Amino acid sequence: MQTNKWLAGFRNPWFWVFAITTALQVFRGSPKDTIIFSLCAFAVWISASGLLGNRFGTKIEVNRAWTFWGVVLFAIALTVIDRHGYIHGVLVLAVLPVVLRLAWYSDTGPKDKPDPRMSRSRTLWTILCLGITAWEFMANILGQFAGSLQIYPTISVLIDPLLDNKYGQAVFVILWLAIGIGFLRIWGKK
Amino acid sequence: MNTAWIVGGYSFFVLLGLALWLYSRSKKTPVASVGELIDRIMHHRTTRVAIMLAWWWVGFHFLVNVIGR
Repeated sequence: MQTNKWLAGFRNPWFWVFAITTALQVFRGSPKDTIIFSLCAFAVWISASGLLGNRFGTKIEVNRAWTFWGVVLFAIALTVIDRHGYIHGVLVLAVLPVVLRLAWYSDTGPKDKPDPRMSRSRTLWTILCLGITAWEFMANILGQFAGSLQIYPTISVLIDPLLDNKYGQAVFVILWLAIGIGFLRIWGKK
Repeated sequence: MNTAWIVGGYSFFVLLGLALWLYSRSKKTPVASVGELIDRIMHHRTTRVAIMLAWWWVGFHFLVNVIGR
């Protein structure tokens, strides 16, 4: 029974998304990202295997007003302080357990069969995401072989200079936090 | 293949995504909107966890990591 659970963790496609990305980080020679993606793959494996059972099974309903003002203060701090420092490290690391706890609750029963509109949307967005990911991986690999990230720029190499000024940093922080809140559906229908 | 090709590829995917997002916003279109799709895919815990980890890494990557250019 325990072996079946372990295997279920490996059968989940998200585990392989993070495992392949970990392999790419090894190829890139980035120890920090290798550790992060390995831990992400492990977290996904733990979730998919169900080894934690029903622990953290209930969804936390957050207070929207507190969340809003907390996020505003957080966005200001992430914008006014220069990036790449210890404070950013601490602030961004502090977000991780909060976000994991908000996302880590049991599924609420089986999903309905998707209607054709939903199937089309899922297929089109999957193709798009796989396409841009493959393109990024290709640029990364070609850049490593050529020894130049300028000839074969990754998305990071193109976007990072835009964050060198405070306006760019503010736009990034707002978009990043808004997308995170959007994914967690905090402002969705109750 | 050179820089223009690589940047052109990214631009192509971004414009395609933007077009798909705009097209699917109406309920009348034969493609479900991004919001409806997220509601659906976030049903499963492992998908939620995976997407939130990927989202977190993006923030870490740009705000904390120093990106070699």
